[in-house]
Amino acid sequence: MNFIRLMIYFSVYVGFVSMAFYLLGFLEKRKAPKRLKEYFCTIIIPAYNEQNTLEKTVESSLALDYPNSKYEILIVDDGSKDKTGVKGKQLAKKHKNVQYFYKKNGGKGTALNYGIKRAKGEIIISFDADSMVVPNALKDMLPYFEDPKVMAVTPAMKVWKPKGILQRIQAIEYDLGIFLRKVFADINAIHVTPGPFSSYRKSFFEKHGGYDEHNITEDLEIAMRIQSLHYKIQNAPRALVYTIAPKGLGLLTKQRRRWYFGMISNLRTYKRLFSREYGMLGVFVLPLSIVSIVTVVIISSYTVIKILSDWTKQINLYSAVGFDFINNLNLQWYLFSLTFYRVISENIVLFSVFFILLTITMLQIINKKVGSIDRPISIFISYGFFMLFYGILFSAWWIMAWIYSRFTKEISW
Amino acid sequence: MKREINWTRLLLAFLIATFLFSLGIFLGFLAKGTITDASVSLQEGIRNDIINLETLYLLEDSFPCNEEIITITSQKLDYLGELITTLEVKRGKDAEDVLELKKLYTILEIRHFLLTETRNEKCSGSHTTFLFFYSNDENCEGEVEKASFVLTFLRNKYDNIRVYSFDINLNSEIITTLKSEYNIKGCSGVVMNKEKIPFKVTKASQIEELF
Repeated sequence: MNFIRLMIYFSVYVGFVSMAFYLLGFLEKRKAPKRLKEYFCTIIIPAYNEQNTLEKTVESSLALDYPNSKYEILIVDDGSKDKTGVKGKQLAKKHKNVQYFYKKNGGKGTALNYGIKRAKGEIIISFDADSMVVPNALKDMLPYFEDPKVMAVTPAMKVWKPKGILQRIQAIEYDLGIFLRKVFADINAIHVTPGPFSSYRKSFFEKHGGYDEHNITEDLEIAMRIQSLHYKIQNAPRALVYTIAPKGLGLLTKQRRRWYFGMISNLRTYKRLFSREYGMLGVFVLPLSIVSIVTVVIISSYTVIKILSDWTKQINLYSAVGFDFINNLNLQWYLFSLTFYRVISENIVLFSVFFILLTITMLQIINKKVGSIDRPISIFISYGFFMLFYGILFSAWWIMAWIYSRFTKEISW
Repeated sequence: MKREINWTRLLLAFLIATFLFSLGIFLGFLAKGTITDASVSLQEGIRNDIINLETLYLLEDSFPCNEEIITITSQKLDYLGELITTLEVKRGKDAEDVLELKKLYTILEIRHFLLTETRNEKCSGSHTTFLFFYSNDENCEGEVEKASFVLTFLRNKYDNIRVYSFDINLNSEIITTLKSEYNIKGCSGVVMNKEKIPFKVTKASQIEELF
């Protein structure tokens, strides 16, 4: 049995363990806490060149099912070069609880800290200017703060009307994220509080400092800091936030390079989280994430190399017969049927079919539970693209981030 | 401050995973078993075909120059070749029974080759014959695959071409004799109309120029 085959079997087993563990948590019935108190909340919208999406983000905040007198919206313009300022001022003029601030460009962390300093709310909500929230979101999130140990509550993120292959792949990734975040919350293992509509207790910032302004993934750093101080991060699965996912490969790659680079450097900083002291986060969730990343990268890289070498071989063979395909149809059909025999007798195929069916079922359940507007057929198409390309993209991004982390100290937005 | 670890859920997850994993492996074995069963019936089919083919060769002695016999025997031989390759893929190239069948197949090929050559001489036939000697050795894969691809392509393109392939690693006296007769060395060798081609076959056009 060769190395790569062993690796595949190992990843299948690890996949089964994590799937079983997470499904057991997902299926465990827990009642969401009942709302006890109407906190005063501050929604901070850090904006850098967001003239096209800012208005929608603010409007969705204004449409929240929560008393207007109980929350404020602070737009912090981080030195935009487009018309974000004009839009921001207009919105502030039009709505009583919207305020607009301008500051010199310094990065998202600085914009959020600027907002926190001026916030009146007990609860701070960071809200990326390219996202929209459903009206019930705040009401669903706030009850979790009744537990004094809870310092942050994350929403359920979805991709806004995914189109094209890349957005559809991200849509599935986000949907699986909803599942994972809910399961992680039950074992206090959430280690990222995403930029769009994560809420925090203001006292945490007062006691332990604001966002790390030099951190490229400040939302990851703050979550790890909360965890490292033994507080809790909760999740409100019905608090849906729609975000506009990058459409082009260039933008998406840039975003992922930043995220994964941030993950590597923050895990280095908070390596103490990998310990028995941090419960399931330290002994199961984080180690398992690393094992999964490494195995996916190895297997996907091998697959890509294998496909490329097979193609090269085929091209080489066809060049020998002057690329005459017509006189080779019989042979090709025969070779295809031989390969088919070989493939169907592999255990891996059985495992893959099982995983695919299970994931499709899970995606349907998740979307039904959170009250998603996506049609099942759309999920099905997206899942097809996800199966085909995600492993390869995911591996490429991780390899890129790892190279950056080895040879550079910083990475830009 | 130590956080709780849910050992029960963790243990349950490992148990479920082990069960599913073992189940998958077991089902895989069942699938492989079904394929092995199919291989056994395939072998029986091949043996029947071999007997048929031998009878057809005998018919040739009674009805010389009958076109029908050469057409049927050629088709049968090609079909048998494909069956044996399929069996080789399913059972592995080192499986004893596959090697035995390949030896039998070699005899049938030689008989067909001699038949075709006789036809060419006595019945003014116009078949071009190729004897393709190849090694199953992993180091020879690239060279053998290319030559094999080119010869299969030519066989598909031209109706009057016959290709007879011989595994030089097969422990067979016939192959040893042919190898020494045509001085076959290395990974592969091609003999066209009883003359050894003095170069490695890498392109179809190289052979087409010799027609």
